[in-house]
Amino acid sequence: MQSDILWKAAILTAIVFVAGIGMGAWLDVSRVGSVQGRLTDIDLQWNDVRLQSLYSGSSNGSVSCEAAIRANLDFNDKIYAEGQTIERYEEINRFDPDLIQQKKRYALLQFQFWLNSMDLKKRCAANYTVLTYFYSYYNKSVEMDQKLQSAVLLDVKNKCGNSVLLVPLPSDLDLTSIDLLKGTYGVSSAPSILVDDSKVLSGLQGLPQVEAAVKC
Amino acid sequence: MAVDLAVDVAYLAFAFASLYFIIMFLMLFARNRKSIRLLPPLSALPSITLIVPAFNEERTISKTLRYLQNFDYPKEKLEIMVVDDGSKDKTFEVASRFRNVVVLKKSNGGKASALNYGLKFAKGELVGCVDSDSSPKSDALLKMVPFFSQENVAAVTSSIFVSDAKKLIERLQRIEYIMIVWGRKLLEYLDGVYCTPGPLSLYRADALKKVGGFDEQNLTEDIEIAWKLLHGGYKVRMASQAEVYTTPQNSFGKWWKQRLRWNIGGMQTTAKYRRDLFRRGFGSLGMFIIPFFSLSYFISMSGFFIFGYVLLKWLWNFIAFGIGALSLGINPVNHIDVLLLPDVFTVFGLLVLAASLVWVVISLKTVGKDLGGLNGLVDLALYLSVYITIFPFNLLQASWRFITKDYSGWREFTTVRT
Repeated sequence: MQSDILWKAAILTAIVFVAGIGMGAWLDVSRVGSVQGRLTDIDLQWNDVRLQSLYSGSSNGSVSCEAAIRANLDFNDKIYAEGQTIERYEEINRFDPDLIQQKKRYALLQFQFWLNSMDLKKRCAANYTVLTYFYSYYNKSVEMDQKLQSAVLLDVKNKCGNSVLLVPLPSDLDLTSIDLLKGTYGVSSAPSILVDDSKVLSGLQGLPQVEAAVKC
Repeated sequence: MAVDLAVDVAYLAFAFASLYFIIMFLMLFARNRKSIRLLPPLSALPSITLIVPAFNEERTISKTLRYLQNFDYPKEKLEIMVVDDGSKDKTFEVASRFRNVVVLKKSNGGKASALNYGLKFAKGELVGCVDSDSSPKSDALLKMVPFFSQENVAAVTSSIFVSDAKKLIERLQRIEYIMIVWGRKLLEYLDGVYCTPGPLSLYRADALKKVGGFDEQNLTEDIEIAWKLLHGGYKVRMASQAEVYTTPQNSFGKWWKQRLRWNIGGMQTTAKYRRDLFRRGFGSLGMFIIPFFSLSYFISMSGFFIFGYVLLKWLWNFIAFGIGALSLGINPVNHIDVLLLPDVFTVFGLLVLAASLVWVVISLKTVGKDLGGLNGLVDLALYLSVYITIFPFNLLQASWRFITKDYSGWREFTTVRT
């Protein structure tokens, strides 16, 4: 009986298994690295957009206001796409918890973007509605509701184009700035939608309800 | 969630166990590839009694008896015996027409009972069990007998292939039988041949009598007898060069019922010898066969539950999203995300798949059976995707019937074929 094969196969399997785990971990790490790189890139772009807004504020010119709004809208598309990528990675990453740091970084960028969008709306009379979507990062019981809410908001965005800005914000990442925003507008549950800085739609909202709240 | 975490861990354990078995078989092949088709030297030609248990086999018995009479083996050392197990047709009359064939008749009691009955009258030093629908090659006995030159070898089995595979279900069984032949030969190197199938197996008559013959209560007497011999300290060998052809099940219903019987019989046997588990006194039976058998069962069932859970969860989410989307006034089709990204589970899934493919290709090449070009490749793809997937469902039903001791409906099958 060649019983030595039994333990030799066990050792070889363990090696293959560890290599497989290693490859899985490498995939996770490389994904986080890619998000990190892209967020750094977006951070740079954000600084550019913000400076443009500051400049438009100081020059009082309608042309620079228009350019700032345009840059802000373009940035919205980019940061929204990045958010979707991070979400996909979150679903499959098993080993690298560092993604949560990137998620926080992303949330803070979104918050700054919201501030800038509201500022431009008031100062430059920008003709768009800002929909701030508060969702829970940790509460899995509302996962399906949040998926549906994201789909509804995406449909509104696709239909309304630049008339709507989407700002998804994870509401339970323990970020004081976002907690402050929630406190200011009385957002206490997820999913919730803050329409501009006036109205809060709490709970899952259908397409007709959201459409009624925006100028499309 | 805790359930998801448990499924993740179970998946990794499943992947590890699956990889372990595939790697074990590949290592066995790599080490023994040169000797795999070698025969021990033929030192003697012992007398052989071939017992054909038959129940309502008037249509196939003649063909089988002609094959047995054509064996390349000294006629004076070959006794052919048909045990009619209470047939309601003309099996007895048809078999009686053959010269030099002993035909016995008894009341119906099942295949094991017919074999035990024949064993009482068998004169050969070796006793062969031959199903009444078997078509062995004429040199099969000469390639099996040399393995008995080792004194503690009590049973030698043959390579069983499917004859005349036309329908899809038959062609899939053809691939399965090839895989079984290869796997069983490799298991021999671990003293792990755990079944001596009915189409053609030879036994040392005195060893068979010493262990009490075939278990008449077991649905798979061919598995039980192999375990019983191993339990008694004997060895079981596989003569892969001895080829025998058998008729496959020709409908899904028959196939399902046959597999139910195999699975229940395997469980009966495992339960019977459970006390031998990890006991060195019973050699490979306790240290390898029972753990291997049990682990195979758990791998199959855990794979079934893991993939079932993942699939049902995905389906549930898909339906819930569709219904929810429609109720919210949006079109769910616009939100189907088909982007697939590789994660650690994909890595292990691909590893198991790649290792399985290597295993299948090597086995087909080694056994030397041509699948028949492109159609054969389609069959192989169906075998690896659909056929294997159906198996755990059968195992699940078999488990239930084993637990509830529902063994009804097998009297005919136990007497006809393995």
